[in-house]
Amino acid sequence: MEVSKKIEQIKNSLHNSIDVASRIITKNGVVIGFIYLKSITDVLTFSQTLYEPISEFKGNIDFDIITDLVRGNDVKVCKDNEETKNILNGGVLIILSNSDKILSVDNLKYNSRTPSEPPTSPVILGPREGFTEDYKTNMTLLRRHFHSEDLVFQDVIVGKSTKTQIVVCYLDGIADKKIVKQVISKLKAIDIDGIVDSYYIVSLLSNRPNSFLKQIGQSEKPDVISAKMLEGRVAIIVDNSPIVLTVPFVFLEDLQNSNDYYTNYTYSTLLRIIRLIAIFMAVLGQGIYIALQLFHYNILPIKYLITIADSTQQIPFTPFIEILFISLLFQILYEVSLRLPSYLGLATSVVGALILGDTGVKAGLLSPPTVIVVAIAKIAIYVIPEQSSQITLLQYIFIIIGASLGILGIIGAAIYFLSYANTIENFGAPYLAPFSPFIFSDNKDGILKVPIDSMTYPPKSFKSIKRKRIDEGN
Amino acid sequence: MKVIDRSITAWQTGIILFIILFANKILILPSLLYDGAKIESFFIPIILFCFDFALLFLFYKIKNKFPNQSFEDIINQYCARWVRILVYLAFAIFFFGKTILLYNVTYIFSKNMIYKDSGNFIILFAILPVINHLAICGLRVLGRTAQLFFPVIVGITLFSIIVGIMGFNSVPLFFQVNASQFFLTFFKHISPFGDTIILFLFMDKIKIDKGQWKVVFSLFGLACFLVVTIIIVFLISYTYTSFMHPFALFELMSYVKEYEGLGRIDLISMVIIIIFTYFHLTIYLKAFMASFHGIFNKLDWIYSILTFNLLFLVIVNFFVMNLEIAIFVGENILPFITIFPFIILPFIIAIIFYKHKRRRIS
Amino acid sequence: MKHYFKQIIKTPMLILFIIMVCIFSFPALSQVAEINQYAIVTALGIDTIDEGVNKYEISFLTFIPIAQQGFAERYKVVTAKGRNVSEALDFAGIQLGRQVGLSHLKMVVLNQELLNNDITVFLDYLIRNEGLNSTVKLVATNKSAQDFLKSAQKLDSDSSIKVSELVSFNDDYIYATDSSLESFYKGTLGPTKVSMIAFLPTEEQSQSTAAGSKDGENGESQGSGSGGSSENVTEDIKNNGDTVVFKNGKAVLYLNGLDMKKINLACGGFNTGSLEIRNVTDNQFENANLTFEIFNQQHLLQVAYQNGIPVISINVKLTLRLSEVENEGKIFQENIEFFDLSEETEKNIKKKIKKVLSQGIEIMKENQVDIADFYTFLNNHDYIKFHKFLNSLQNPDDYINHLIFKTSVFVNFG
Repeated sequence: MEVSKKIEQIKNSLHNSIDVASRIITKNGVVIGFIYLKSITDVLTFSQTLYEPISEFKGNIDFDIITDLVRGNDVKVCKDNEETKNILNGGVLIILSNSDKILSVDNLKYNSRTPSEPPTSPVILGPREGFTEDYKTNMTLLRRHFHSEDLVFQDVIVGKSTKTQIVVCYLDGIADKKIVKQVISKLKAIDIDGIVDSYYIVSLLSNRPNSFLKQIGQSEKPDVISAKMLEGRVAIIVDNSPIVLTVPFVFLEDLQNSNDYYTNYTYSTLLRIIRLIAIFMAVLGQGIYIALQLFHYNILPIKYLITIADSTQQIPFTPFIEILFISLLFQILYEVSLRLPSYLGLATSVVGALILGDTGVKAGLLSPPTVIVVAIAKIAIYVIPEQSSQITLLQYIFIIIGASLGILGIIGAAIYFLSYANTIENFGAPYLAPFSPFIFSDNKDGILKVPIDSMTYPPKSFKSIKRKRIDEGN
Repeated sequence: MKVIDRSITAWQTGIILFIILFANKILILPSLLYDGAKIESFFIPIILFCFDFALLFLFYKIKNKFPNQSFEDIINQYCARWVRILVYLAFAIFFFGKTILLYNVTYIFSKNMIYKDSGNFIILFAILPVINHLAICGLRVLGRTAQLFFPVIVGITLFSIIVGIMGFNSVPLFFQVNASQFFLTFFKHISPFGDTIILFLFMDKIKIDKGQWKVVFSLFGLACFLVVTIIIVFLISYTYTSFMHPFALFELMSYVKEYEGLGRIDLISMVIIIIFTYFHLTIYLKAFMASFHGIFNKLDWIYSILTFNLLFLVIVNFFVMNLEIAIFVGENILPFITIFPFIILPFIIAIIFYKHKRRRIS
Repeated sequence: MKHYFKQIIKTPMLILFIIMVCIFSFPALSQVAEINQYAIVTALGIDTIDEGVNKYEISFLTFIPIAQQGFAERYKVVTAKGRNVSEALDFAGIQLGRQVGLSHLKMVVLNQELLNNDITVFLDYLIRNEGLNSTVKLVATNKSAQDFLKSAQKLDSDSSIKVSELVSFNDDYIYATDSSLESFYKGTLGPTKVSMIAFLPTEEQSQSTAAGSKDGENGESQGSGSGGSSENVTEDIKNNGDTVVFKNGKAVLYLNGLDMKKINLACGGFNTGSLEIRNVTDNQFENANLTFEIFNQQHLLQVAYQNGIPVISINVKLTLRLSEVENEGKIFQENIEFFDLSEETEKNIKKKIKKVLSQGIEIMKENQVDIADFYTFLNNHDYIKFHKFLNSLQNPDDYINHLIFKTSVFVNFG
């Protein structure tokens, strides 16, 4: 093979990108060519493990000898037409003039974040590790939880331009084979130019992509993913994303928090009840408040009525405009505090809310009860940060319904949305299981949480291979 | 648009049965019963629930004989085509009539208790889209959503009963009614009963394992028990003024001075009355859709929904916006319609059983 | 986008819902709070007047919201006249520029002059009002209801005592019944046609004491509240535990607290209170007045028919605790907890209690008011015999006078 010609050919196929590096040496009449991408390979390792042994070797060089000489960990013969693919995956190609075969040595190296505690789900007690953007590190993190031959990783490459590595992980003998097959076939069927983050495949995996409801589980923590895999779920790691997806997903998963499993079960039960109340307050609180103000003053107790009547007297806005205004104000503050650098963000969120709220009240622009109701509703969202986008959307819908149709409309809309959620089934899991349909055994880890030794069987909300998780009375 | 009714479980069947047995008897009925038959009137629902139980038992029998067939298929198999059309027409009229009655009572309740100043259309438009949506979503979604609300409904009902018992402060006066008055009241208020026949319409969609029947029967029992308890507690709480209080479950909560500090806790019972109305109207709409499909079984589902909405809007807007007409219709016209569930339908089923037996012998 | 719209069109109910919300939410943008459209009434007074066609004067205590953050409750007394209650209320609404909201009504006050006629006539509007809570208190007063409300307003602002709380206290500790609109109707519509309501008289007070207790803020609300009235003489509500007994909706009997105690002893179902026995002589004291606290009261009614006439035996079982000894000239040197009365004294006390019980029954008989509802008891006990007895009477309404009562008292000194 003519080495320089082949190198030129490969360079051309990579559009002569500036990070393509090549080197040609001649040893005992044999021309040896190296070609790799500078940006994703380790140059030092290259010289120590590839270049040095070959250049210092005194003897006749042929393909077999080269294969022995190379000190790399993943050495393989490059298949036809896969030269560029190997280079793009961090390989160094070695081309010999006296052989038709091309050797590919894995020399991938790039800078990646070390696993740290994810900002979205901190815990008080429990593991603090979080996934990183590197899928290999993520696989390592999962492997550390399962020293078992049952942990299976299967890869799928998605994205015409990005060629993103997607890894489907499951526990053989626990996860339902049909679900695994379905996930892989769905992933393979994705025809998209690129996957930038795992969220790109969320809607592509969902049964109802147009729905506003979250239908795929997400987590940044290996312990959470491991626990879900133990229940029979399938995890999907997407390269370049620290968020690992799980299917099938039920709403209850977001009500559960990894903290619940690292504290006493009675306390977890209390926390879950509080979370449920908080969801109600977050979704319905503002809507009910505006409905009471506009339509049903007579329901309020007299003392509360007097407080509201006194404090809303000189407000220039009508109640509906007032609540929309305050709600928008809080949303803007939230967005600002999220985007600004942390030191500034802190200032805007706390001081901004305090100053704006207090000044608004003192200036007679806003009424204190409305500010409180909106603030409670906005804070309550973050008991379940995973559902914050859905809850925020519902908040606005319920404000509008409360103002236009009153309490009848609010209850109607609640029934509407719950029945809508009931129409969703992803990978065979009803969205609101185990509450509707009611599955008794799954309610052991529903609103109530029982001690771990009572949770004998894996959830029945979705399909998994039947087995005992723990012997009762252990 | 497709309406796909998928199968429902024993629990969901039981809960649907619970709602239809419960919802139209907790508002105006106890007050009207007192008006006619004084304190002894609580025997009327007990007797009528026995009728309903007979219908449920009939359903149990027919379901065991024809586990996977729909009622339409069974009628087609054993009766002439015109019988099927007549039976389904009767179903349609029965459920539509009751829909109007239920809506009317709820409308009056909402108008008096919830929306004092607002237009009539708010109530109509808050209800119609939701019940249509629930009906389109199918039977399974309806069953599941009802299942989600079931603990809330039972919990609040029990709470209302306990609160009602706390309001007892008088002894009821018995023996104030004679047999003719009693039976006249019995006949006048027969129309809220007989809803159990709804199960026949969804026969093939109901999947109940052998051991699961007890769930359906116990939920039936629970509904009867709660309704009778509410009526008794209401009658004892209000005794001589019962006739002035048309919204029983709501009034139970509003007569307890212990809760004055909390404000009007009757709000809680108001919420479940609204929830009940939504589900009950949806179940009636589904029943109407199924009956319509039984009459015109080549037409698409959409026509049944459109027909219902059109008829509903026309009748509701032009005829029934006051309680007097509703009570007049409920007491004088609808009792005759209940001949269908209590006499005609059992008769037809008896014929089916007879023919089925003869065919098997031959 | 096209695909997305297609998806939306597949869910027509969502579109319908959005359209509905759009139709109703635009008017909602300009809709003011319902609280600002209603005058929230907490107490309502009814007086009779004689001014041509207008027969009634309605006064009500309404809450006036004022922009502030002190959360003080500022009330105003509003009056209006009309041919009937609903018309007067309409006029009051027009006067205020607001609708009259009765959903938070806690008390209805009636002028004594009204009580001589059938009061159900003018309570009709209220009992038929669905928005009204069933626990609305009904009280009568000796002077005009308007003055009563003004005094109630003053009582509210001078102290945290509310008149409705006074009535609740009376219900719990003085009468054996509930002085509410609902129980008034229950009694009137019931077989005995007897009902009771609280009677709270107002008394004139000299101005100096009233003015002294007012601070500036309350004075201001009083001034603006009473519709510009600047009377020097103020009225104060006096709660003596008095009761008015109605028969067929008309007042037939005024009872003071002492009479009420006697009747309560005959009615039963009432566990608190005290009992005073005068002139008791024992080893330890002579002609002393003893006061006992009633710990527990059990009431057992039994009936037997003698010659077709019901004989009711009232067995009262009391648990008493000595709480006060009024012994002239001699200090009673015993611990009450360990002190035992002599058998003879106990007998004596029992006799006196029996006498009190008989007096209670006598009051009912004299006025032909069956406050204890013996009718229901007899009716439920043996319907046929009781109605035979009623039919044998010339005036069945007067059945209580023909009943024979036997009383027995068992006292346990705890």
